Amino acid sequence: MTNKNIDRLFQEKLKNLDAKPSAKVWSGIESKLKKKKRRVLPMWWLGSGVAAILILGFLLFPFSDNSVIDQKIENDPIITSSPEKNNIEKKKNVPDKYLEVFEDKKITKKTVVATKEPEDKKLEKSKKTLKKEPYLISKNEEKVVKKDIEKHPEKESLVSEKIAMEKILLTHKKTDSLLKKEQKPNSKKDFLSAIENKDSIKIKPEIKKKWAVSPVFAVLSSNSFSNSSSLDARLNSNKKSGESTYSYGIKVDYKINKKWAVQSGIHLQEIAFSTKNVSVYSGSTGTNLSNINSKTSLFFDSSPSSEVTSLVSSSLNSVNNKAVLNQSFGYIEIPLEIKYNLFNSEKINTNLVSGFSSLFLNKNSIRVKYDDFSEDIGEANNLNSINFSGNVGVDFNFYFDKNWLLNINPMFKTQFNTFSKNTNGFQPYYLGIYTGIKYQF
Amino acid sequence: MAAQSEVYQLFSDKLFAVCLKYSKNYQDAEDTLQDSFLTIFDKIKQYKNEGSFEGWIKRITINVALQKYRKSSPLQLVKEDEIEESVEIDLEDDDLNLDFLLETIQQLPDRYRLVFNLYVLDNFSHKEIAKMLQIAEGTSKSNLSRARLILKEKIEIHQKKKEKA
Repeated sequence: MTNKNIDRLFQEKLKNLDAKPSAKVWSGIESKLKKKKRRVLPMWWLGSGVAAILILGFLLFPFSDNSVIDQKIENDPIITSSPEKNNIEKKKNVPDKYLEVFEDKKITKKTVVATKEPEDKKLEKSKKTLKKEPYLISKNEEKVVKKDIEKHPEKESLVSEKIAMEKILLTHKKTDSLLKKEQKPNSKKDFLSAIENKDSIKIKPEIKKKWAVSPVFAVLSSNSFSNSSSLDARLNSNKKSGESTYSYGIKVDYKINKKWAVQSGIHLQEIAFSTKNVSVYSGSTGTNLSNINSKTSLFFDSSPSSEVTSLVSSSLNSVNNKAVLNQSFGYIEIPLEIKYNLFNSEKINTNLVSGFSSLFLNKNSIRVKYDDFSEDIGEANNLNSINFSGNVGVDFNFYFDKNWLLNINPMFKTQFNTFSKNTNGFQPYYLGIYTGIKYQF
Repeated sequence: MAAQSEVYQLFSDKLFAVCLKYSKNYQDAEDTLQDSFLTIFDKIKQYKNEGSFEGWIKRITINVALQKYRKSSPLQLVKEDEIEESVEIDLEDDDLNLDFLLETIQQLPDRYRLVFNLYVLDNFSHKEIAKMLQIAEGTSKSNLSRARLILKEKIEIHQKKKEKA
């Protein structure tokens, strides 16, 4: 019969208690750990998948900007060399026993490289873990020594305990680096933004934004390759000039790759020519200009001359001999053009443009003007309702920001089959400066 | 997985003992052990190499156990003057069965058990216990006192039974 403090009783009996849990505890832990790993894996695959697609993309497009690849090459040595160097350093001051662990570590780093995390972050991380490592070891060694002094045999188990601990720390770091993406929603964003920042500065518009739309407006200056008249051969000697007209519509761009793009759209376009110093007569009978379906009783001739009487009947009264005939025709224009990128910087992007337009006639009028008088005298009867033009030009884009650009596009367009007959060699062309605000998406 | 397995092999026996002392039965202890290891593997990067690894994982295990029982509190109110600083017990013989002692602890009301474990077996102060269990220091002291009395009573009953047998 002894009298005992109850605290002491329990302390003595229970302080160094060991108990074996049943096997199902570990199997439960194992299955939960596996579940976690399985959740990590798809993220890993996703990351490397994106990387693979990017690399494939760079390889497949021979037009691609070299600067991106250069950058990659520049960065690569940094990634690979630093772990190696550190590895060697460590080998120097670490017993052989732990080399195996470091081999693991090296592999860990490699897999991280393969996942193509943002490089800076990765480097930082590996540096951090490297810094920790020697510290951990020395601490543990201390611990082993201490325990050796305090307790008796178990040395072997302590060493293996230490190794196991390190292994778990390392494997954990490995999974952790993969997990990070999952845990922090913004780290994924970082990854994307890092890619964008790095790769897109120079090639941003080409890769990311394939489409562009711009409302455009152009001032057109029309002219003809010959001085002949499309109205009547009699007017060939008259002074002629092209008028300034306009075109407006919507342009759509689609980028095929970095260098090539297609553009189309729909425009309303008008061109006009005037023939000066035309004599105007009025009367009931006369010879009309051959290419006009006239709706007035006015008749026209090139100029007052001795020949006039022979051409028009004596019943005609001269009205004016300094009249101007204005012919204008308008089209709905649907261009199809290809663009080749000449020069590209952060601020400006320049392309060569070439292609053709389909033109659908939607306006056809001829007016006469003299003094203050102006009258619609009819329409040309030799205009084709469908016409084509060949287009060449240069296209300048000035970036306001990522999405918005000022587009200035001087074009030279020449029509191929404006007239169905009696062209007298008249072939119109026009110069236009197309201006628009472009939106890329 | 191999590394985790090794850690488990090395420490599960010790931690399971902790779980048994802090839990109210064997089943709960196993659950607590499993949760503790999952927490350890999850937080292992937070281990700063300060202090022993074993101490660190033991603290995690205790925390997991506390989380489980912290909320339930015994209904009894204990007056301050009932608190006794120490309880002595007369023992017939010293070889009290370990399983029996464990069982008496497990059968204590949840909070008595936690306080007794923390104070007597793991050397936390009443101040620390009060913080860990979110109770007043006085409550911790009275819980401990009650726990001791209950344990004493149980052991005495057990000894009497043994005598009769």
